[in-house]
Amino acid sequence: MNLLEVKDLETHFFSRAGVAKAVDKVSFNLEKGEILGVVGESGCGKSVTAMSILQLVKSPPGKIVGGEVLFEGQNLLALSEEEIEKVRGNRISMIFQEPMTSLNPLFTVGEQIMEPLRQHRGMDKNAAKAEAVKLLTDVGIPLPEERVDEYPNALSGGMRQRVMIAMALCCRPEILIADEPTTALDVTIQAQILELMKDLRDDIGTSIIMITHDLGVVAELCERAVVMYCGNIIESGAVEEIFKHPAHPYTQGLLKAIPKLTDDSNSKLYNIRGSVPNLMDLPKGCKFANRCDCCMDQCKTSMPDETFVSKGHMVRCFRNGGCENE
Amino acid sequence: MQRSGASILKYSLKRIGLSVLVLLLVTIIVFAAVRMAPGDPVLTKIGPYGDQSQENYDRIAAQMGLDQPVFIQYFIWIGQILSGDFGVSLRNGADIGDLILQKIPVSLELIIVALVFAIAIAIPLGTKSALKPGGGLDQTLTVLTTSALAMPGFCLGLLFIVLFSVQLGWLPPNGYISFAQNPVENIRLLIMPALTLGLFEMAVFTRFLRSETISVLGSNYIRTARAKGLPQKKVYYKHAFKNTLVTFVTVVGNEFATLMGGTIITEQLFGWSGLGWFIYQSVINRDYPAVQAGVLVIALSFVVINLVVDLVYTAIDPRIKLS
Repeated sequence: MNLLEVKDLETHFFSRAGVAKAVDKVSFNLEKGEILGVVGESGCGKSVTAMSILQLVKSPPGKIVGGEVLFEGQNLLALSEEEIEKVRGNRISMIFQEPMTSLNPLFTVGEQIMEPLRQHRGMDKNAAKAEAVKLLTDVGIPLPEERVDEYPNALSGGMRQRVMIAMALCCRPEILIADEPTTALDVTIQAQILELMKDLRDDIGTSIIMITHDLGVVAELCERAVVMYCGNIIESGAVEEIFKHPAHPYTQGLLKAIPKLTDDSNSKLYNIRGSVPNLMDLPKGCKFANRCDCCMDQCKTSMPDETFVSKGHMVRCFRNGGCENE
Repeated sequence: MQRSGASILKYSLKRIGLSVLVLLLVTIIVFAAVRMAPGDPVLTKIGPYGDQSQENYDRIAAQMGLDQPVFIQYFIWIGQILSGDFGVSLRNGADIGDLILQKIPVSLELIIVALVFAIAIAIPLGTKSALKPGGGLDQTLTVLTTSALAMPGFCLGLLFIVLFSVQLGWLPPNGYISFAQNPVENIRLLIMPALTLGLFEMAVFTRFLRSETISVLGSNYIRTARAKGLPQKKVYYKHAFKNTLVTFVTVVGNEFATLMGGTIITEQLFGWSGLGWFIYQSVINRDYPAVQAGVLVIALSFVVINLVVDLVYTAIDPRIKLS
C-alpha cells in the first residue's frame, strides 16, 4: 500500500509579471520504507513539490491551487494550519539544502532538537534533553553531551546537517523529505550523510523522498526515481531501469551529461542545448520540445500523456522511448 | 568554543580602551571647535558694563588661563576635567559640573519616557505589519510613519501646543517642575515633549522592525521552525523575534545616543530645562566653558551608550566573536 500519494498537485506562484506554474499536475506515490528520488535541474519544481506536501510554500506569492496529497488516505492539503502542524516534524519531517542557515543562530543545538520532542511528544525538559543527546549520538556527532549546549555557529556544515537530521528524526517520522541535503557539503561528508540516511531508514523504517539534482546520489541511495522538468514529471520508474533504459530525451541528456573517466579528455562535455523555458510563458506542447533532438510536429502542439514503456516505467513522450539520439 | 567569563571580560576591557581613545579625540575636537567659534570669552566675562581697559582684559585673560599657548590650555582643561572640575559659568559664576549634573536627569526623564513609549508601540505594530506585508494595517502604518518622519519636531511640537494647550486647554504649554516637587505637574509638562520625540522614534522603530521582521521571516531557520511543526506563535514570537531583537537593540541604542544631543530644539520649545536646553542657553549667552562641558558630556554619553549596546549585543548573540 502507498504511504503517500500525490495526485495532480498544482502549485502556482502569483506575481505582477504573471503566474508561474512551478508544479503542474504532479502525481507520484511513495511506498512504506522506500527511498524515492526526485530529480531535476534548479527551478524544475522539485523543492516546491516537497514544500507543498507540508504546506510550507510561502504564501503569498505561492499557492497550492489543485490536487491532493494523501497520507495514509488523509488529504494533507485539506488540513487546517493547526492540524498540519501536528503532522510536520512529527509524522513527516523535512531537511533542507542549506545546513549553514537552517538552524536558528540564537538557540543552542539542544534547544532546537528539544522543541519537536516537547511539542509533539509532550516530553518535559529533562527527558527531551536526554533524548537530544541520544539523537546526537545516533547521527554520529562526537561529544554529544557538550555539543548539545553549543550554538550552531560552533559546528561545521556537515555537523549542522547531522543536527538537522537528528531534529527531523526525533519523533520517528513515517516520511523524511530531504531537499538536496548534501548539495552544500563536500564530497566525503556527502557520502557520510547519505550513509547515515540509509542506516536510519533501515533502523527506523522511515520512507525517504530524496530531492536532488545529482544523479549520483540517486544511483547511490534511491530505489525509484521521478524525473521532473518544468513542473511536470516526465519520467518515473525503478532507478536501475531509468539508468539503463532512459526513455525521455531529457533523462537521456542528463545521463549523457555526466562526465566519465573513460571519456577522451580533449572531447567537449555534453550539454543539453538551449535553456529551460520561462515558467510564466511556457510553450503550448511538450515543454522540452525546444531543446529536444527528436522533436516532432505534434510535440509543439500538445503535451504527451503518461505511457508505460515497461512495468512501472512511465514516460511522457510521444516517442515512447523510441528516441535514441546520438 | 564556549564563551567563558574571562573572554567576555577581556572583550569588555578592549572595548572600554577603545572608547577612552574615542573620548580623547572628542575632547580635542570640542576644544578646537569652541576656540574657533566667533566671540571672545574674555569680553563676555567682562560684560558690556565692566572695565574695558587693556590691563583689565589681560588680567581677566590670565585669570582664565587664556594667555597660555593653546595646547597648554588644552592640557590644563583636560586636567581639570579629569579631576571633575568643569569650571564656572561665565554668565553667573555657578559651578558647571553641578549645573550639568542637575540637567542630565531632566533630559534622561524625557528621553527615556519617549523611547519607552516608542518601543511599546513599535514592537506590536512593526511585527504585526510584517506578518502581512501590503495588508491594511501595513499600508496605514506606512502612511502614518512616513508622515511622522517627514514632520520636523518643532513643527509637530507647535501643533501639539496649539491643540492641547491653546484649543483644548488640557496641558500647560511649557515649563519644567521636577517629579520630586510635583509628580502630577511633572507628568503633565512631560507629555507633549515626550510625544514630540516619541512619535518620531516610534516611526523609526516601526519601520525598522517591519523590514527586519520581514527579512527574518524569510530566513531558512524560520522555515525549519515551521517544518518542525511549531505553532505559528512560537515561530513568530520565539524564533523570529529573538533574531529581530538582536539588531533592534543596536537601533534603540543609536537612537538613545542621538537623542542625548538631539533634544535641544524640543527642550527649548517646551521649556523643558534639561541638557539640551542648557546648551542652547549657554550658546546664546556665549558661555564657552559651559558649551564645552555640555558638548563633552553629550559625546561621553554617546560613547558610553554605544559601549553598553555593544556589550548587550555580545551577551545575546553567540555569533559575535569575542576575540
